[in-house]
Amino acid sequence: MIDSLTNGVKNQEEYAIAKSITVLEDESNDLSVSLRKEIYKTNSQTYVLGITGSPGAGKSTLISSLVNHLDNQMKIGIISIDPSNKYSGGALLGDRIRMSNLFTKKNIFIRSMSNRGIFGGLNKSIFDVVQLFSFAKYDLVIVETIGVGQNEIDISEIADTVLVISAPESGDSIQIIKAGLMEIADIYVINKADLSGSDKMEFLLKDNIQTNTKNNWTPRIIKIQANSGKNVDGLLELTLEHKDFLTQNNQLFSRRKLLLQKNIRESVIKKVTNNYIDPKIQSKEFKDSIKNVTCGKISFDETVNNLVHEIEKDIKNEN
Amino acid sequence: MSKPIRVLIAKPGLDGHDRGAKIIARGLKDAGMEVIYTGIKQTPEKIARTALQEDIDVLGLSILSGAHNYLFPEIMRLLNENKDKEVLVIAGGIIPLSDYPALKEAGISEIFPPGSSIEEIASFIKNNVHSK
Ligand SMILES: Nc1nc2c(ncn2[C@@H]2O[C@H](COP(=O)(O)OP(=O)(O)O)[C@@H](O)[C@H]2O)c(=O)[nH]1
Ligand SMILES: [Mg+2]
Repeated sequence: MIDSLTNGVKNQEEYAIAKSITVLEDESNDLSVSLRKEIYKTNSQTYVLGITGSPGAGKSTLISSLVNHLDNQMKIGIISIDPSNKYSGGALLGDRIRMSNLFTKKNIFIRSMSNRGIFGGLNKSIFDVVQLFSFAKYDLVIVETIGVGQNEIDISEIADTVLVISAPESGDSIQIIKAGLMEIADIYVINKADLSGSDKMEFLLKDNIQTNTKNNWTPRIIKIQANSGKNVDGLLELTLEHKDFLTQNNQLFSRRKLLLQKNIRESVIKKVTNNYIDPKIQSKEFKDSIKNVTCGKISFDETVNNLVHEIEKDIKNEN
Repeated sequence: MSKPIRVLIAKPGLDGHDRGAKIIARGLKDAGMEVIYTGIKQTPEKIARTALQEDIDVLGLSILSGAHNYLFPEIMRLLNENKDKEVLVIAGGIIPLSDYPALKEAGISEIFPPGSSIEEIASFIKNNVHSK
Protein backbone atom coordinates (compact mmCIF):
# COMPACT_ATOMS: atom_id res chain seq x y z
CA MET A 1 0.00 0.00 0.00
CA ILE A 2 2.61 2.51 1.10
CA ASP A 3 4.90 1.51 -1.76
CA SER A 4 2.28 2.05 -4.40
CA LEU A 5 1.50 5.40 -2.81
CA THR A 6 5.09 6.65 -2.67
CA ASN A 7 5.83 5.34 -6.14
CA GLY A 8 2.75 7.13 -7.40
CA VAL A 9 3.92 10.35 -5.78
CA LYS A 10 7.38 9.94 -7.28
CA ASN A 11 5.76 9.59 -10.69
CA GLN A 12 3.75 12.73 -9.99
CA GLU A 13 0.49 10.85 -10.30
CA GLU A 14 -2.25 13.08 -8.99
CA TYR A 15 -4.38 10.46 -7.30
CA ALA A 16 -1.34 9.44 -5.25
CA ILE A 17 -0.47 13.01 -4.30
CA ALA A 18 -4.09 13.74 -3.40
CA LYS A 19 -4.41 10.61 -1.29
CA SER A 20 -1.08 11.29 0.43
CA ILE A 21 -2.18 14.76 1.46
CA THR A 22 -5.30 13.25 3.02
CA VAL A 23 -3.13 10.78 4.91
CA LEU A 24 -0.67 13.43 6.11
CA GLU A 25 -3.49 15.67 7.28
CA ASP A 26 -4.97 12.95 9.41
CA GLU A 27 -2.60 12.12 12.24
CA SER A 28 -4.71 9.19 13.34
CA ASN A 29 -4.09 7.53 9.99
CA ASP A 30 -1.59 4.70 10.45
CA LEU A 31 -0.14 5.25 7.01
CA SER A 32 1.01 8.75 7.89
CA VAL A 33 4.02 7.53 9.86
CA SER A 34 5.33 5.34 7.06
CA LEU A 35 4.59 8.00 4.49
CA ARG A 36 6.52 10.62 6.43
CA LYS A 37 9.40 8.20 6.68
CA GLU A 38 9.63 8.13 2.90
CA ILE A 39 9.03 11.75 1.97
CA TYR A 40 11.62 13.25 4.28
CA LYS A 41 14.31 11.22 2.56
CA THR A 42 14.98 13.80 -0.08
CA ASN A 43 17.17 16.81 -0.57
CA SER A 44 14.51 19.15 -1.68
CA GLN A 45 15.03 21.69 -4.43
CA THR A 46 11.48 22.93 -4.39
CA TYR A 47 11.05 26.67 -4.09
CA VAL A 48 8.31 27.67 -1.65
CA LEU A 49 6.42 30.93 -2.10
CA GLY A 50 4.17 32.07 0.73
CA ILE A 51 1.32 34.50 0.20
CA THR A 52 -0.42 36.00 3.18
CA GLY A 53 -2.73 38.91 3.96
CA SER A 54 -6.21 39.56 5.22
CA PRO A 55 -9.27 37.94 3.65
CA GLY A 56 -10.32 39.72 0.47
CA ALA A 57 -6.91 41.32 -0.17
CA GLY A 58 -6.62 39.34 -3.40
CA LYS A 59 -4.33 36.41 -2.57
CA SER A 60 -6.14 33.79 -4.63
CA THR A 61 -6.60 36.17 -7.55
CA LEU A 62 -2.88 36.94 -7.45
CA ILE A 63 -1.92 33.26 -7.48
CA SER A 64 -3.99 32.71 -10.57
CA SER A 65 -2.44 35.67 -12.31
CA LEU A 66 1.10 34.85 -11.19
CA VAL A 67 0.87 31.28 -12.40
CA ASN A 68 -0.32 32.47 -15.80
CA HIS A 69 2.97 34.34 -16.11
CA LEU A 70 5.01 31.20 -15.45
CA ASP A 71 6.29 28.60 -17.85
CA ASN A 72 3.73 25.82 -18.28
CA GLN A 73 6.48 23.22 -18.11
CA MET A 74 6.98 24.04 -14.45
CA LYS A 75 5.35 21.69 -11.95
CA ILE A 76 3.45 23.86 -9.50
CA GLY A 77 1.63 22.88 -6.32
CA ILE A 78 -0.83 25.35 -4.82
CA ILE A 79 -2.00 24.96 -1.23
CA SER A 80 -4.77 27.31 -0.13
CA ILE A 81 -5.66 27.40 3.52
CA ASP A 82 -8.87 28.69 5.03
CA PRO A 83 -9.92 28.75 8.67
CA SER A 84 -12.14 26.06 10.10
CA ASN A 85 -15.25 26.75 12.09
CA LYS A 86 -14.43 26.56 15.77
CA TYR A 87 -17.70 24.94 16.74
CA SER A 88 -18.51 22.51 13.94
CA GLY A 89 -14.96 21.73 12.83
CA GLY A 90 -16.15 22.23 9.26
CA ALA A 91 -14.76 24.73 6.79
CA LEU A 92 -15.75 26.55 3.66
CA LEU A 93 -12.84 26.39 1.25
CA GLY A 94 -13.51 28.97 -1.45
CA ASP A 95 -10.12 29.94 -2.81
CA ARG A 96 -10.60 27.95 -5.98
CA ILE A 97 -13.29 30.36 -7.16
CA ARG A 98 -10.56 32.79 -8.27
CA MET A 99 -8.39 30.10 -9.83
CA SER A 100 -10.89 28.48 -12.15
CA ASN A 101 -8.71 29.11 -15.19
CA LEU A 102 -6.01 26.87 -13.70
CA PHE A 103 -8.19 23.80 -13.09
CA THR A 104 -7.38 21.96 -16.28
CA LYS A 105 -3.73 22.95 -16.62
CA LYS A 106 -1.65 19.79 -16.61
CA ASN A 107 1.24 21.21 -14.61
CA ILE A 108 -0.84 22.60 -11.75
CA PHE A 109 -2.01 20.79 -8.64
CA ILE A 110 -4.35 22.73 -6.34
CA ARG A 111 -5.32 21.61 -2.88
CA SER A 112 -7.65 23.45 -0.49
CA MET A 113 -6.95 22.84 3.16
CA SER A 114 -8.59 23.84 6.40
CA ASN A 115 -6.38 24.84 9.28
CA ARG A 116 -8.31 22.27 11.30
CA GLY A 117 -8.70 24.35 14.40
CA ILE A 118 -5.24 25.82 14.61
CA PHE A 119 -5.15 29.60 14.91
CA GLY A 120 -2.56 31.57 13.05
CA GLY A 121 -3.29 30.26 9.63
CA LEU A 122 -1.20 27.13 9.36
CA ASN A 123 -1.41 23.66 10.75
CA LYS A 124 1.54 21.42 11.27
CA SER A 125 0.71 19.07 8.45
CA ILE A 126 1.51 21.90 6.01
CA PHE A 127 5.17 21.10 6.66
CA ASP A 128 4.49 17.56 5.54
CA VAL A 129 2.49 18.58 2.50
CA VAL A 130 5.22 20.97 1.32
CA GLN A 131 7.68 18.15 1.86
CA LEU A 132 5.45 15.84 -0.18
CA PHE A 133 5.63 18.19 -3.17
CA SER A 134 9.41 18.35 -2.77
CA PHE A 135 9.55 14.59 -2.71
CA ALA A 136 7.48 14.58 -5.92
CA LYS A 137 10.07 16.97 -7.40
CA TYR A 138 7.68 19.81 -7.98
CA ASP A 139 9.47 23.02 -8.98
CA LEU A 140 7.35 25.43 -7.01
CA VAL A 141 4.90 25.31 -4.12
CA ILE A 142 2.67 28.30 -3.42
CA VAL A 143 1.03 28.49 0.00
CA GLU A 144 -1.89 30.87 0.52
CA THR A 145 -2.89 31.60 4.07
CA ILE A 146 -4.77 34.15 6.12
CA GLY A 147 -2.52 36.58 7.93
CA VAL A 148 -3.59 36.46 11.54
CA GLY A 149 -2.31 35.01 14.76
CA GLN A 150 1.18 34.95 16.10
CA ASN A 151 2.00 32.02 18.27
CA GLU A 152 1.36 29.30 15.79
CA ILE A 153 3.54 28.33 12.91
CA ASP A 154 3.42 31.10 10.39
CA ILE A 155 4.11 31.27 6.74
CA SER A 156 7.58 32.77 7.14
CA GLU A 157 8.74 29.55 8.72
CA ILE A 158 7.79 27.55 5.69
CA ALA A 159 8.28 29.79 2.68
CA ASP A 160 11.52 30.84 1.02
CA THR A 161 9.90 34.05 -0.07
CA VAL A 162 6.94 35.67 1.66
CA LEU A 163 4.57 38.05 -0.08
CA VAL A 164 2.38 40.07 2.23
CA ILE A 165 -0.56 41.46 0.33
CA SER A 166 -3.04 44.13 1.29
CA ALA A 167 -5.58 46.33 -0.41
CA PRO A 168 -6.49 49.97 0.20
CA GLU A 169 -10.21 49.33 0.60
CA SER A 170 -9.76 47.29 3.74
CA GLY A 171 -7.70 50.15 5.21
CA ASP A 172 -5.57 47.56 6.86
CA SER A 173 -2.07 48.92 6.43
CA ILE A 174 -1.91 50.10 10.04
CA GLN A 175 -3.26 46.75 11.07
CA ILE A 176 -0.56 45.00 9.12
CA ILE A 177 2.19 47.05 10.72
CA LYS A 178 0.74 46.34 14.15
CA ALA A 179 0.27 42.65 13.54
CA GLY A 180 3.94 42.25 12.71
CA LEU A 181 3.24 41.17 9.15
CA MET A 182 5.71 43.82 7.96
CA GLU A 183 8.51 41.91 9.58
CA ILE A 184 7.83 38.72 7.70
CA ALA A 185 7.38 40.33 4.27
CA ASP A 186 10.14 39.86 1.73
CA ILE A 187 7.97 41.66 -0.74
CA TYR A 188 5.14 43.91 0.20
CA VAL A 189 2.32 43.81 -2.33
CA ILE A 190 -0.27 46.56 -2.51
CA ASN A 191 -3.12 45.12 -4.52
CA LYS A 192 -6.09 46.86 -6.16
CA ALA A 193 -3.99 49.75 -7.43
CA ASP A 194 -7.12 50.75 -9.34
CA LEU A 195 -8.77 51.80 -6.08
CA SER A 196 -8.11 55.12 -4.42
CA GLY A 197 -5.94 55.05 -1.35
CA SER A 198 -3.22 52.83 -2.77
CA ASP A 199 -0.76 55.73 -3.03
CA LYS A 200 -1.34 56.70 0.55
CA MET A 201 -0.82 53.11 1.54
CA GLU A 202 2.46 53.01 -0.34
CA PHE A 203 3.78 56.07 1.51
CA LEU A 204 2.83 54.65 4.86
CA LEU A 205 4.47 51.33 4.17
CA LYS A 206 7.62 52.90 2.73
CA ASP A 207 8.04 54.75 5.99
CA ASN A 208 7.91 51.52 7.90
CA ILE A 209 10.09 49.29 5.78
CA GLN A 210 13.19 48.05 7.52
CA THR A 211 16.10 45.97 6.36
CA ASN A 212 15.83 42.52 7.79
CA THR A 213 18.77 42.26 10.17
CA LYS A 214 18.81 38.49 9.95
CA ASN A 215 19.59 38.27 6.28
CA ASN A 216 20.26 41.81 5.01
CA TRP A 217 17.40 41.82 2.58
CA THR A 218 15.49 45.06 2.24
CA PRO A 219 11.83 44.29 1.60
CA ARG A 220 10.45 45.66 -1.64
CA ILE A 221 7.12 47.35 -2.14
CA ILE A 222 5.09 46.98 -5.30
CA LYS A 223 1.65 48.09 -6.44
CA ILE A 224 -0.29 45.70 -8.61
CA GLN A 225 -3.72 44.86 -9.90
CA ALA A 226 -4.20 41.14 -9.43
CA ASN A 227 -7.48 40.85 -11.33
CA SER A 228 -6.26 42.51 -14.53
CA GLY A 229 -2.70 41.24 -14.15
CA LYS A 230 -1.27 44.75 -14.18
CA ASN A 231 2.33 44.82 -12.91
CA VAL A 232 2.21 41.16 -11.94
CA ASP A 233 5.23 40.61 -14.19
CA GLY A 234 7.04 43.23 -12.11
CA LEU A 235 6.15 41.30 -8.99
CA LEU A 236 7.42 38.11 -10.55
CA GLU A 237 10.75 39.82 -11.25
CA LEU A 238 11.08 40.94 -7.64
CA THR A 239 10.28 37.44 -6.47
CA LEU A 240 12.99 35.95 -8.65
CA GLU A 241 15.37 38.62 -7.41
CA HIS A 242 14.70 37.50 -3.84
CA LYS A 243 15.16 33.90 -4.81
CA ASP A 244 18.53 34.72 -6.40
CA PHE A 245 19.47 36.63 -3.28
CA LEU A 246 18.75 33.58 -1.15
CA THR A 247 20.63 31.28 -3.46
CA GLN A 248 23.68 33.54 -3.55
CA ASN A 249 23.72 33.71 0.23
CA ASN A 250 23.24 29.98 0.60
CA GLN A 251 20.01 30.62 2.42
CA LEU A 252 17.77 28.42 0.36
CA PHE A 253 19.61 25.46 1.81
CA SER A 254 20.02 26.70 5.37
CA ARG A 255 16.32 27.51 5.58
CA ARG A 256 15.51 23.93 4.71
CA LYS A 257 17.47 22.65 7.68
CA LEU A 258 15.90 25.17 9.97
CA LEU A 259 12.53 24.11 8.68
CA LEU A 260 13.15 20.48 9.49
CA GLN A 261 14.36 21.46 12.95
CA LYS A 262 11.18 23.47 13.54
CA ASN A 263 8.98 20.74 12.22
CA ILE A 264 10.54 18.21 14.57
CA ARG A 265 10.14 20.66 17.42
CA GLU A 266 6.44 21.15 16.65
CA SER A 267 5.90 17.41 16.52
CA VAL A 268 7.63 16.84 19.83
CA ILE A 269 5.57 19.56 21.51
CA LYS A 270 2.39 18.08 20.13
CA LYS A 271 3.23 14.56 21.32
CA VAL A 272 4.30 15.61 24.78
CA THR A 273 1.25 17.82 25.14
CA ASN A 274 -1.19 15.13 24.04
CA ASN A 275 0.40 12.23 25.89
CA TYR A 276 1.59 13.83 29.12
CA ILE A 277 0.60 17.42 29.73
CA ASP A 278 -3.05 17.46 28.77
CA PRO A 279 -4.04 14.28 30.63
CA LYS A 280 -2.59 15.86 33.80
CA ILE A 281 -4.09 19.30 33.29
CA GLN A 282 -7.50 17.88 32.42
CA SER A 283 -7.55 15.46 35.35
CA LYS A 284 -10.06 15.97 38.12
CA GLU A 285 -7.33 15.95 40.78
CA PHE A 286 -5.50 18.78 39.12
CA LYS A 287 -8.64 20.80 38.59
CA ASP A 288 -9.52 20.32 42.24
CA SER A 289 -6.06 21.38 43.34
CA ILE A 290 -6.26 24.72 41.57
CA LYS A 291 -8.20 26.23 44.44
CA ASN A 292 -5.08 25.71 46.57
CA VAL A 293 -3.44 28.39 44.48
CA THR A 294 -6.18 30.93 45.05
CA CYS A 295 -6.39 30.28 48.76
CA GLY A 296 -2.65 30.57 49.14
CA LYS A 297 -1.79 26.98 50.14
CA ILE A 298 0.61 26.62 47.27
CA SER A 299 2.14 29.18 44.95
CA PHE A 300 1.65 29.40 41.23
CA ASP A 301 5.28 28.55 40.52
CA GLU A 302 5.26 25.60 42.87
CA THR A 303 2.23 24.23 41.09
CA VAL A 304 4.01 24.54 37.77
CA ASN A 305 7.18 22.91 39.07
CA ASN A 306 5.27 20.05 40.66
CA LEU A 307 3.55 19.37 37.41
CA VAL A 308 6.82 19.39 35.50
CA HIS A 309 8.29 16.90 38.00
CA GLU A 310 5.33 14.60 37.66
CA ILE A 311 5.55 14.70 33.90
CA GLU A 312 9.27 13.97 34.02
CA LYS A 313 8.53 10.96 36.21
CA ASP A 314 5.83 9.73 33.85
CA ILE A 315 8.19 9.91 30.93
CA LYS A 316 10.99 8.11 32.83
CA ASN A 317 8.67 5.38 34.01
CA GLU A 318 7.65 4.65 30.50
CA ASN A 319 11.19 3.72 29.50
CA MET B 1 -11.16 13.49 16.23
CA SER B 2 -12.16 11.74 13.06
CA LYS B 3 -11.29 13.16 9.71
CA PRO B 4 -13.92 15.59 8.37
CA ILE B 5 -15.91 14.54 5.30
CA ARG B 6 -14.68 16.44 2.25
CA VAL B 7 -17.35 17.70 -0.12
CA LEU B 8 -17.06 19.44 -3.46
CA ILE B 9 -20.04 21.61 -4.35
CA ALA B 10 -19.90 22.23 -8.07
CA LYS B 11 -22.11 24.16 -10.43
CA PRO B 12 -21.98 22.80 -13.96
CA GLY B 13 -23.94 24.46 -16.74
CA LEU B 14 -24.20 28.00 -17.93
CA ASP B 15 -26.59 29.56 -15.45
CA GLY B 16 -25.10 32.20 -13.21
CA HIS B 17 -27.13 31.83 -10.06
CA ASP B 18 -25.34 30.22 -7.19
CA ARG B 19 -27.30 31.36 -4.18
CA GLY B 20 -28.67 27.88 -3.58
CA ALA B 21 -25.29 26.23 -3.98
CA LYS B 22 -23.74 28.66 -1.51
CA ILE B 23 -26.44 28.01 1.07
CA ILE B 24 -25.83 24.29 0.82
CA ALA B 25 -22.07 24.83 1.07
CA ARG B 26 -22.43 26.90 4.22
CA GLY B 27 -24.93 24.48 5.73
CA LEU B 28 -22.63 21.51 5.23
CA LYS B 29 -19.76 23.47 6.75
CA ASP B 30 -21.91 24.02 9.83
CA ALA B 31 -22.57 20.29 9.84
CA GLY B 32 -18.82 19.77 10.30
CA MET B 33 -17.74 19.06 6.73
CA GLU B 34 -14.92 20.57 4.71
CA VAL B 35 -16.67 22.08 1.73
CA ILE B 36 -14.83 23.12 -1.39
CA TYR B 37 -16.76 25.59 -3.47
CA THR B 38 -15.54 26.44 -6.96
CA GLY B 39 -18.02 28.94 -8.37
CA ILE B 40 -20.28 28.92 -11.40
CA LYS B 41 -19.93 27.51 -14.92
CA GLN B 42 -17.78 24.51 -14.15
CA THR B 43 -17.13 22.17 -17.05
CA PRO B 44 -17.16 18.39 -16.46
CA GLU B 45 -13.37 18.40 -16.97
CA LYS B 46 -12.86 21.02 -14.28
CA ILE B 47 -15.14 19.21 -11.86
CA ALA B 48 -13.42 15.86 -12.36
CA ARG B 49 -9.91 17.30 -12.02
CA THR B 50 -10.88 19.19 -8.87
CA ALA B 51 -12.46 16.05 -7.43
CA LEU B 52 -9.22 14.17 -8.05
CA GLN B 53 -6.86 16.75 -6.56
CA GLU B 54 -9.02 17.52 -3.55
CA ASP B 55 -9.52 13.81 -2.74
CA ILE B 56 -13.18 14.40 -2.02
CA ASP B 57 -15.62 11.97 -0.45
CA VAL B 58 -18.74 13.63 -1.79
CA LEU B 59 -19.63 15.55 -4.95
CA GLY B 60 -22.71 17.76 -4.84
CA LEU B 61 -23.89 19.00 -8.23
CA SER B 62 -26.19 21.97 -8.42
CA ILE B 63 -27.88 22.88 -11.66
CA LEU B 64 -30.66 25.16 -12.83
CA SER B 65 -29.99 25.37 -16.53
CA GLY B 66 -31.59 22.10 -17.60
CA ALA B 67 -28.53 20.52 -19.22
CA HIS B 68 -28.27 17.82 -16.53
CA ASN B 69 -29.17 14.94 -18.84
CA TYR B 70 -26.02 15.58 -20.81
CA LEU B 71 -23.72 17.05 -18.14
CA PHE B 72 -24.26 14.62 -15.27
CA PRO B 73 -23.44 11.40 -17.16
CA GLU B 74 -20.41 13.14 -18.66
CA ILE B 75 -19.23 14.17 -15.18
CA MET B 76 -19.79 10.61 -13.94
CA ARG B 77 -17.79 9.22 -16.84
CA LEU B 78 -14.80 11.48 -16.11
CA LEU B 79 -15.10 10.89 -12.38
CA ASN B 80 -14.87 7.15 -12.92
CA GLU B 81 -11.60 7.65 -14.75
CA ASN B 82 -10.12 8.97 -11.51
CA LYS B 83 -8.26 6.05 -10.05
CA ASP B 84 -8.72 4.49 -6.67
CA LYS B 85 -11.57 6.50 -5.27
CA GLU B 86 -15.26 6.03 -4.69
CA VAL B 87 -17.15 9.28 -4.50
CA LEU B 88 -20.73 9.69 -3.34
CA VAL B 89 -22.49 11.88 -5.89
CA ILE B 90 -25.66 13.82 -5.12
CA ALA B 91 -27.50 16.49 -7.06
CA GLY B 92 -29.85 19.37 -6.51
CA GLY B 93 -31.54 22.16 -8.40
CA ILE B 94 -34.29 22.13 -10.97
CA ILE B 95 -34.56 18.62 -12.35
CA PRO B 96 -37.88 17.12 -13.59
CA LEU B 97 -38.95 13.95 -11.77
CA SER B 98 -39.08 12.10 -15.06
CA ASP B 99 -35.31 12.51 -15.41
CA TYR B 100 -34.50 10.96 -12.03
CA PRO B 101 -34.34 7.27 -13.07
CA ALA B 102 -31.82 7.83 -15.83
CA LEU B 103 -29.64 10.03 -13.65
CA LYS B 104 -29.68 7.48 -10.84
CA GLU B 105 -28.82 4.85 -13.38
CA ALA B 106 -25.82 7.00 -14.33
CA GLY B 107 -24.58 6.93 -10.74
CA ILE B 108 -26.18 9.89 -8.99
CA SER B 109 -27.10 8.48 -5.57
CA GLU B 110 -29.76 10.97 -4.60
CA ILE B 111 -31.45 14.05 -6.00
CA PHE B 112 -32.65 16.82 -3.71
CA PRO B 113 -35.36 19.07 -5.14
CA PRO B 114 -35.54 22.77 -4.20
CA GLY B 115 -36.78 23.16 -0.64
CA SER B 116 -34.85 20.16 0.71
CA SER B 117 -33.43 20.89 4.13
CA ILE B 118 -29.75 21.00 4.99
CA GLU B 119 -30.34 18.47 7.77
CA GLU B 120 -31.81 16.06 5.26
CA ILE B 121 -28.85 16.45 2.91
CA ALA B 122 -26.24 16.31 5.68
CA SER B 123 -27.67 13.15 7.18
CA PHE B 124 -27.94 11.49 3.78
CA ILE B 125 -24.25 12.22 3.26
CA LYS B 126 -23.23 10.95 6.69
CA ASN B 127 -25.17 7.72 6.21
CA ASN B 128 -24.02 7.00 2.70
CA VAL B 129 -20.46 8.26 2.36
CA HIS B 130 -18.11 5.43 1.43
CA SER B 131 -15.97 4.54 4.36
CA LYS B 132 -12.46 3.96 3.14
N1 LIG C 1 -10.70 46.30 -7.75
C1 LIG C 1 -9.92 45.22 -7.67
N2 LIG C 1 -10.42 44.08 -7.14
C2 LIG C 1 -9.61 43.00 -7.07
C3 LIG C 1 -8.27 43.03 -7.51
N3 LIG C 1 -7.72 41.82 -7.28
C4 LIG C 1 -8.69 41.06 -6.72
N4 LIG C 1 -9.83 41.75 -6.59
C5 LIG C 1 -11.11 41.28 -6.01
O1 LIG C 1 -11.00 41.13 -4.61
C6 LIG C 1 -11.85 40.12 -4.13
C7 LIG C 1 -11.12 39.15 -3.23
O2 LIG C 1 -10.17 38.45 -3.96
P1 LIG C 1 -9.55 37.06 -3.47
O3 LIG C 1 -8.48 36.71 -4.44
O4 LIG C 1 -10.61 36.08 -3.26
O5 LIG C 1 -8.94 37.49 -2.06
P2 LIG C 1 -8.26 36.57 -0.91
O6 LIG C 1 -9.30 36.36 0.13
O7 LIG C 1 -7.11 37.38 -0.38
O8 LIG C 1 -7.80 35.30 -1.55
C8 LIG C 1 -12.44 39.45 -5.37
O9 LIG C 1 -13.73 39.93 -5.59
C9 LIG C 1 -11.49 39.88 -6.48
O10 LIG C 1 -12.12 39.92 -7.73
C10 LIG C 1 -7.77 44.26 -8.08
O11 LIG C 1 -6.61 44.39 -8.51
N5 LIG C 1 -8.64 45.32 -8.12
MG1 LIG D 1 -8.28 33.31 -1.05
